Amino acid sequence: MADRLKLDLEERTLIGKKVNRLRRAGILPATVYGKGVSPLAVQLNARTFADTYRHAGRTGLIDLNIPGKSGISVFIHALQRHPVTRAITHVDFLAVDLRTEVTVDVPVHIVGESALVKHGDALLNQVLTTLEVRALPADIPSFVEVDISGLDSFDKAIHVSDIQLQSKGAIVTPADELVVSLTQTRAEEEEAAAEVTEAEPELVRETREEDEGEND
Amino acid sequence: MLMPKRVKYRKQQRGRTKGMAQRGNSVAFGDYGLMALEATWITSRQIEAARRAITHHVKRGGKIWIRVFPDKPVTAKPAETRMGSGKGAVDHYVAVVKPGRVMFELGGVRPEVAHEALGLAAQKMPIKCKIIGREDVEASE
Repeated sequence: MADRLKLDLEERTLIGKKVNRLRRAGILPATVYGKGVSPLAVQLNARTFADTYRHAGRTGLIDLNIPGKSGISVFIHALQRHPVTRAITHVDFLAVDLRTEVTVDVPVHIVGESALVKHGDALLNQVLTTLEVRALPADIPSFVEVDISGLDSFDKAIHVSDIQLQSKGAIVTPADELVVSLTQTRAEEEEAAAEVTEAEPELVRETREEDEGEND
Repeated sequence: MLMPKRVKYRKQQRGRTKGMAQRGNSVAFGDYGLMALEATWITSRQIEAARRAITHHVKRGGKIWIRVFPDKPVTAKPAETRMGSGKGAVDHYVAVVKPGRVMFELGGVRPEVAHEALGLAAQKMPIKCKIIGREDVEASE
């Protein structure tokens, strides 16, 4: 990780439903918790956070600047979003000890191109979108690259054991788990398959009564 | 078309649709999804029409997830029938959809193809919809 991001926060006194007042004013409620930090309600500028999140994602270490408290390094741990607008409504920061290893979900980035997928003969089936990586907080990679150019037949697949981390640390996700595989592309149109004769759904009650009748 | 295999009761009351989708409101399986922006009942015919539109557009390749299921029976009385004499027969099945619900997901295709396919599916829906991406897919765009 090159340069660490910084974020200015203030302690928050408004809690509960009153927090909506903050959101209307463009302030994002958040909470900080984790190793060596007692849970702390904080607030920050929503726009500043959006910028920081774009750069840091969930794997970037951020130094928090809270008046009266110093030396808190965090990961963005959880986000709450509005169901429709998808605007961020709350953030959880997870404080970490820089000398202790942590386990973080790191996104998987697919690189390269499989010849079969390129010609439209196969469909890339990405099973895992994140991998659990255990490392010192500063060594957590922002993403893990998976090269699929070697997938030139249907019997080939990439498992967790095939992936090498470029940085320090280890992958915690079980080695036998499938990351990417190829599947046969389906036939051009499978609309006929959906045309099934429609039968009235059977009633659960009736079958139960029949069963009871048989038992008697 | 989609419909339940077994039901506990043949007919249901209509109910009221309140609030927003508290679950099923993010892209969980594919790369892109079609999100409802209004509350409505989606019939199994509409789901099937949207599925066909997506399948037809992506041709070969791509994987589709349908994340709503029409489990609510809707009854109707025959035409030119006098009122009364009980509730009508089950006519079709609907899925109750609240704003924010991701109804369809699509993966394994290029972003522009996914947008076009889900746009066609949105036209089969009786409500306004928007196309959203998985969180990390959106961030990398």
